Amino acid sequence: MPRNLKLTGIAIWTCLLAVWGAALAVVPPDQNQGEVYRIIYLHVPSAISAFAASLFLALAGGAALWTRNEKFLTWQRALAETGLLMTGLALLTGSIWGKPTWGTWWTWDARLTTTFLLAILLAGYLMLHSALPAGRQRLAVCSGLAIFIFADVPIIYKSVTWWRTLHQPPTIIRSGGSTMAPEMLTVLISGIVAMVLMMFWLAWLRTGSIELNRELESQTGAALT
Amino acid sequence: MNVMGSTNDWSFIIAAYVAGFLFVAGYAAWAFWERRRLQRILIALRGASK
Repeated sequence: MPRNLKLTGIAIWTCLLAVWGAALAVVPPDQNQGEVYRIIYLHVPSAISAFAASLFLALAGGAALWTRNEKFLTWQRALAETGLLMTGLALLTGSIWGKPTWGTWWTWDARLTTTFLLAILLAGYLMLHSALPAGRQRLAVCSGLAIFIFADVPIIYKSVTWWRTLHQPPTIIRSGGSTMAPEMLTVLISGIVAMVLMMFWLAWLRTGSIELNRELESQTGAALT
Repeated sequence: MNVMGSTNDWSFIIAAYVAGFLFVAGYAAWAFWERRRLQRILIALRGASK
């Protein structure tokens, strides 16, 4: 494994664990929700990392269609995987938070449903990528789907203002400024930065395997993953 | 509509952070393992073709 990949990984892991430590032990409890609100320091960064993965997935889709370079398809596959991982984590932590605060693990609320749709779209992308043989058709079809998937992200973001939902409206980016206390906001923003970096690092780690798999595919005629 | 409850029950918080760690660390560990596995297969194939 490249040395810079390892060193970057150690640095990002340290930052992420430090932020989680601050979220669990440093920031004060919330006035309304009590201690359970600490889950948002994991839930919100996971959701924003999923959005970032979807954005860069679409950009890699556009770049692949423009240049026909397989390297962008490798990044698409890696970002679709990490995007699905982050979407799954956002849904799971949201569900764990929802039980004590809303009284239910799950509801077909607009924000939850559109986020669930993102997970299905990303899983669909991965299935399509695995099903198609290497070549121009895979590059074109997967890149088209990669761009299409991003259309769900603004819908997820605006879902809490477009429809009546159980999910609360935006608390960080809103007119009149954030409603969070500065010390809480600092930890939350640090958590978002650390988790987005972690998502990119995981994708970077995966690109090596995806390239190796493509090399094996060209030698043996079949993918091993 | 926002219906908010509150709790100081740490079991939900611990469950969420354990899940978060397992998701991220588990995926990273699998990615390392998969990379090594593919490298070994490729080395074996190259050796066999010589």
